[in-house]
Amino acid sequence: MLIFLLATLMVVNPPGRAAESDSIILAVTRGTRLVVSSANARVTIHFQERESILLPGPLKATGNVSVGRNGSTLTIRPDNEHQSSPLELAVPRWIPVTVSVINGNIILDGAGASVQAENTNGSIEVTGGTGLIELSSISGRVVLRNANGRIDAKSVNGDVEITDSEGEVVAESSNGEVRLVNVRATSASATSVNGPILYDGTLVVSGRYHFSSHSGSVSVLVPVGTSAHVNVSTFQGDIESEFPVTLEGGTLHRGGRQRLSFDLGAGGGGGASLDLESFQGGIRLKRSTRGRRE
Amino acid sequence: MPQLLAAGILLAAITGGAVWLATRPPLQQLATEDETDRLISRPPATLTSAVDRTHDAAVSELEEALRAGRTRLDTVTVRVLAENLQIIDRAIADARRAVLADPGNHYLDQHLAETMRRKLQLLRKAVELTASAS
Repeated sequence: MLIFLLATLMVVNPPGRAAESDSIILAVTRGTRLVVSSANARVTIHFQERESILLPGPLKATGNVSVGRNGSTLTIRPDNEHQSSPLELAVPRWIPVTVSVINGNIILDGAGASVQAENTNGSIEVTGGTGLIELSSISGRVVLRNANGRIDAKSVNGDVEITDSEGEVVAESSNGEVRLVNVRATSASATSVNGPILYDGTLVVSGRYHFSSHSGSVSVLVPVGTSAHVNVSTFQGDIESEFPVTLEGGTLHRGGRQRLSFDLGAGGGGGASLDLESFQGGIRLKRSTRGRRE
Repeated sequence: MPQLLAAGILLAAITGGAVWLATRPPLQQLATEDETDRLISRPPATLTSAVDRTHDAAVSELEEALRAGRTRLDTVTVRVLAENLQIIDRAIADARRAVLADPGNHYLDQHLAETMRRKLQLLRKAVELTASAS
């Protein structure tokens, strides 16, 4: 609040002017972090090869916004928290962003730095992002594409989908599906209480992969040539493997209804560690059609 | 402790925002107390281990904080939170029954602990939401 009292630029909508002249351009220097917050407005940010922030006109469409600076942080938010008209920005690709919305979708297109996005009601769709990427929704779907870094994507009630991305991945939902497709993860954890889990990506040597659901199935598509030690646990589900399973020491480890460990490929401690758990759902190990991508 | 911190934040938010709360126009339809009662549900208490007692104490503390601020949440959010808390409660009950049926099963122990942790995590999030909605 103090930020806005000390350094607030009120962007007023001049009535009757052309769209172009209504646009606002804010110069920013490298090292700036952009924080966008909104109670009820959908937020769309286009990351572009530019060195300034553009609030496209006419502002009749977006309403008035407040812009505040505090050190290297630039904050943009609707003047009126009751405003529900969409807020749309074009920003430099290099700028890290934090976006917080209560009721409304968040769309971030082409991010080139770290991204934090959080909402309560609404979806989050992000393309791009490097470094720390944290996405969190209560009731909406969370979708991330073409990201690289430490990825943490969560939804309470929605699906979480990460595609064409790489890095350390944590994905979580309570009541939704978690899908990690074409993901080159150095480590990955995907969990759901009530939804299925799908992992279709690399299993790198020494990487740790943990996929778990209570009621949903857990499916892993394993690239050709993968070497991994696999631990599988289920209480009421079944286990299917397209790979020949050679049990450790030739015995079935029965700690519960279904619990077993085995090696895929060369295994023997030199490969990935893969833990698959589902209390009630099936566990599937399938061959990936993508081939080995390590 | 995070839950004490969350409760403190909630208290501060309630105190500081009282006037604003009294005068603000409604943004969404806020949840009634009857609706939010669904947020506070108790899974069947079948175990009495130290871990369970610690968990139950933390849950009670967060539920109390949530009860205090629940009507500041809109009906959609309350419904989503309630449904998901019920889903997690069912999973906890399943896991507890399984642990009783198969004691010493490492996977089941871990699964129960992880599911209980998830409930705490969601309750903390819900309390944070009540604070930020004030």
